[in-house]
Amino acid sequence: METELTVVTLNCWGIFLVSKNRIPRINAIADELASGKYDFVFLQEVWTTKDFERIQLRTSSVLPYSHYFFSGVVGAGLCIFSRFPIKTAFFHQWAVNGYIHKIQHGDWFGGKGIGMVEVQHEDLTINLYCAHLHAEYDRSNDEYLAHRVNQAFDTAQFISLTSKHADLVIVAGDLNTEPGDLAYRLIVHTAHLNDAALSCSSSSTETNVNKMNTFETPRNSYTSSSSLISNPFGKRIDYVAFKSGPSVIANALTCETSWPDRVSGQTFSYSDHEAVIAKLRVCKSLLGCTCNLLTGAEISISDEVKKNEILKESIEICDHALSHLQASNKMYILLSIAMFVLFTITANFEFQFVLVLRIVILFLLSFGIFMSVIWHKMEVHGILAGKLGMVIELGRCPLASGTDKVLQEPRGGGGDDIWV
Amino acid sequence: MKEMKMDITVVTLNCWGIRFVSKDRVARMAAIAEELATGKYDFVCLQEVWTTEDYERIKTRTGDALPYSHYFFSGVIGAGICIFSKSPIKSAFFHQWAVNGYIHKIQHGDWFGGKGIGMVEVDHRGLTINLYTTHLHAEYDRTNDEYLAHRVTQAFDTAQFISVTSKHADVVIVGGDLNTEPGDLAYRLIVHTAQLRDACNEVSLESSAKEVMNTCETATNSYSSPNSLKLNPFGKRIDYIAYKGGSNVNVSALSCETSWPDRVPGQPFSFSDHEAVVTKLRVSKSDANVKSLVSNDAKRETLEESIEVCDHALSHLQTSKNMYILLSLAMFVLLSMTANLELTGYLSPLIPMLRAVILFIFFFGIFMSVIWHRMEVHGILSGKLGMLIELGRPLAPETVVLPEHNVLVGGGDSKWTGVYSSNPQDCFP
Repeated sequence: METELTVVTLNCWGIFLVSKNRIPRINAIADELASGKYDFVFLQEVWTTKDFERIQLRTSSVLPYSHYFFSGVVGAGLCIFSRFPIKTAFFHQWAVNGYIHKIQHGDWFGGKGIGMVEVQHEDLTINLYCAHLHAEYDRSNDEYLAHRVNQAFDTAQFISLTSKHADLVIVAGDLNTEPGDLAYRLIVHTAHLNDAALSCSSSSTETNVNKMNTFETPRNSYTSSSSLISNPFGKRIDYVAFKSGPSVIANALTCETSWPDRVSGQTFSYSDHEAVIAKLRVCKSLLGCTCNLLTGAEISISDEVKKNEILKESIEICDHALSHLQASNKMYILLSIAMFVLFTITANFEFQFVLVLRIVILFLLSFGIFMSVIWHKMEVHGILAGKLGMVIELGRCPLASGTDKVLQEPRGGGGDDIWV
Repeated sequence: MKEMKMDITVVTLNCWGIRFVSKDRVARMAAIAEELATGKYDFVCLQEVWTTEDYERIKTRTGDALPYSHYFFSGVIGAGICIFSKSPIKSAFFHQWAVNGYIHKIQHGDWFGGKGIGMVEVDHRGLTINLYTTHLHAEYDRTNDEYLAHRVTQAFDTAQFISVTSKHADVVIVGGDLNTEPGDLAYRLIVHTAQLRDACNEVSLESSAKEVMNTCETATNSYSSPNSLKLNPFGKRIDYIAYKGGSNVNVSALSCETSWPDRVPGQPFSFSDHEAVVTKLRVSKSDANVKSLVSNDAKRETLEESIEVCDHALSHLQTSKNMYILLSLAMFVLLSMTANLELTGYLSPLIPMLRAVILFIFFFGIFMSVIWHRMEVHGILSGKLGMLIELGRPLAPETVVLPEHNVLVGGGDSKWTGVYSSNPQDCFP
């Protein structure tokens, strides 16, 4: 069978009380989706069930099947809408996703991970994946790089492990990484995906490449002037990627950010991100297909070489993070000791706000203990697990002789001295 | 597959390796390592290996017999699970469950384990074998199981994870401590939803002989307490090896035993407080695709029962959230009331200490009602939605009443009735 599928992905910027014009934008998004143009819809940053329901009700006649991935405190913000029946839904939360105390960034509260649904369309088994990686707040000093790299690798692995039988795999979302960045390369090359924007011949010229940008673009009403100074054309961090199974051929006919710059009749855009729309042509069975591209089963040797380089680079990032975590653990211990000392010293102070001060000190003491005893180990384990997975993927199965010793010696149930 | 037929020997054991708490830990781990080093086993699934020291001990000792291994790191001290293999490990992946007990239940401690399901993909003499190991949340009080909803959600998630990751595999082997007895809901969820065969069930045994298959608190185990033996004179079966074959592969269980000696040789204690389950599987090529062995009715009933458990938990969580809010309010009141209390003499430091404790409980109450509550609700709701989809019930938008987030973090949790209708008439045609 041969068919065309139209997919759209959009980070909807639906933060309750914070995102501007949230309700009219969500309604406008719902209206556009209700037009019936799309077979599959991938949304991120839909942080309230009210907004999900709003869209679900409005689009139910053209997209009767949908799923919201609940996770964490306010998340996961991800949902998928489908024209065709959803057979299975599964959510895999990442082991690392920012910090609980970074409230100004808030990613941790989202319980982020990768959501998957399996859809059946005639004789095509289609796996759809939606993700929203940890944001990059400061490119020159990215404190979340190791987390995002781990998320990217985990995502790629999850896609690989769950899609071996699938005829078609479509991955879409806000990956918070630009083409060529390590997280991007991890997802695309380790999971052997095609980036629709790149595999589409229509987007080869420079103007077209800039038009594919999806965030902080000059035409978006929410883009700040300061971000335009550093990136006059914005950046491309939202993607549609795909691959096909052994007896299927898929290629991207078009890939565009073709929604209007403004919600019709309004002064604002649909979101602070652009929607990415891709049209895929899919053909099952090698006989009678009119397109002549590679089938999904063929992976080139250069892919394997690229993959090895990417994995080595990622392992380095993990090692760097693990050693940095040693240092930050000591900082938290010092913080706790300092707070304990302060608490004792202020025991007999008497001035107006000493009580409030002591409450704050006590809070910081508890926080320091929690971070150094509990959080630290969880973060180390998350990154270590990622690193071990990368090592295995590199094809170096750890042998028992100790030559590949990547584990640490426990100290009182978990010490962090040895970091080969 | 190169050979027409091959036998695979698998063992699973909960090693009871809790530092400072488990008795005779180091000696037992060394004994476990010795037994594994005999080379009798192709694949080994271990649980409750809570220190890397013990993992390394076993890894070093078994390096010749089992050259490939993987430890699944997770949570604060976990995940406690690891796999050893005769054949090369191609991939390893760990999926942590959304719900796994409570951070404040230190006496139970499951939360700290960061538990989930670990998987490795192995290339074993031409066969692609997916090995899974897991350790579900323990059941501490069968008559009043506060963790039932968590375990049910974990079981469903486990079954789903196995299903979605094993469609291409020739053989699927699952070994672990499921903390659930045959016939219990969590057991049925794993076996029916993932379409697995329980090796012990497959090996024909007379009912009296089945007691020999029990794996925890057994009469022959040196660590079984007299109390538990009064309740369950023969112990209970909560550790399992389960399996299935892929298309064109037939897998059957030749034997399934708890065949390790009652005592570590030369010692008065057992290898662990659990028994090891040893299974020999025969794998052969099959021309026909093996049909699903579970009736749709059984699977449907299991899923419906599980959805009820989730609904019950979700409504209970409303109540417990209100309790936590009350707790915080009470602590706040106490804090204000004790503001000017003073004891004299050597008792004087007690008041500030008491107030510090009150303050701590105050923060705890806020954390539990604002943050933890939402995470737990989302974890269970996510499981429930998955079950509904698995039941084949399309979700009709008009009947959907999803939890509204409260104002503080983006919505309110007032409505809990009829979350996703399970009545066929309400479903979208």
